[in-house]
Amino acid sequence: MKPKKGKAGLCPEGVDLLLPWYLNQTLEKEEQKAVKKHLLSCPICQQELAAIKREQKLYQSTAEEIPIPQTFPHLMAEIEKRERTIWQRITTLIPRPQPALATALIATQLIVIAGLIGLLTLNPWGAGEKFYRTLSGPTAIEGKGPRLSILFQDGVQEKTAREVILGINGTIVKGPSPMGIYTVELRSEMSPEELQGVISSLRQKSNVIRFVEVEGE
Amino acid sequence: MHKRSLEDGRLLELIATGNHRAFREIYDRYYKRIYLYSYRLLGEGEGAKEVANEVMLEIWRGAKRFRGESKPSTWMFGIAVNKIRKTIRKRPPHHEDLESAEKRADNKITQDDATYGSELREKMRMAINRLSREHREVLDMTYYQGLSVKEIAEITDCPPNTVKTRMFYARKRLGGILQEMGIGGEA
Repeated sequence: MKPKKGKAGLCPEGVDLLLPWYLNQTLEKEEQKAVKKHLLSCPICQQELAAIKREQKLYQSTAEEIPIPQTFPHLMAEIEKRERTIWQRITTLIPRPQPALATALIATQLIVIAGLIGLLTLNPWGAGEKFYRTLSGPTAIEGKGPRLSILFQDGVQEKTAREVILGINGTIVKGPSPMGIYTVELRSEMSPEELQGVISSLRQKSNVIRFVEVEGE
Repeated sequence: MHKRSLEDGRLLELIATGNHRAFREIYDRYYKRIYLYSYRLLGEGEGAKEVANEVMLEIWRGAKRFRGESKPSTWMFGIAVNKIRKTIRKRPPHHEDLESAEKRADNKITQDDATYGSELREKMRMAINRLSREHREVLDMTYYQGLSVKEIAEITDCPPNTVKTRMFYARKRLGGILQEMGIGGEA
């Protein structure tokens, strides 16, 4: 206890300021003891304590005639109402599931996924293959057809050369080399007789073709 | 103070998890105290009931926020003090003059042929109503709620020495009013 002599209080040591709490026994133990000791020798504080006791008793008695409302059921109803309202607010933010629409969406997703899997499995564009194909033709660049080395006469235009090659259903796979030689691949299912026939027809066009040979021969 | 099976702090923890039984227990322990406190501060029952209910709802909703930094009772009374202060601020000024109020009380006592004790109580209630909010707060928290200086200081957000001097002046003022009413020597 640190008794103080201030403006407030009647006791010269200011202990009377603590008396209300001495009475309700909420002072610290040491303070409680000190006030008790002080009371033995301070008539002012003794008188004050008696007055406080009467005052407190009268004060507390004012509650006797005040009816206390019983509000617990009302409170619980209020809590449930508020909680329900909050929950309802939350649920209104979430769109309600519509079975038909949801099923249609799921079905669409499944179809798209199945299609993608199919495309990846079948690989119709040959993604990942070693060679590319043109969209216009199915001929493979390195197929298994016989190949011819063709040298055109000087002055033959490229357009003419291509028309000749197209005429034998061939595909230029190389060339023209620095020497002017084209490597042309023919259809794979061609028989040796057919091949000879193609070579003969080309050789007859001597005004256009200087020479023609089966590649590698 | 009756023996408690569960501490208030533990009950608040349970309330935070949505436990209705714990809430009922806290209600039983504190509703009356908070209602009476509000009644004395506001001077009437309807407003007090509203405040006490609001405090209880706040306890239910805000139990999660209770960190145990103060006593549960301090925390709960803190809520009550704030709600009462707000209610008082919102109120229109009280027009009934004190003389007519006293006459009304005197008539009531005469008509009811009340006992001397009930007359004293009525006068005391009237005297309390004439005190300032701060004085009513400190008187009630000390005389009725049995709170310590430290707790009151925490709830009302002022230094402990202010609580002590405020109580001194509240008592002085109350004594003066009671004397004016002719019952100075009784209290």
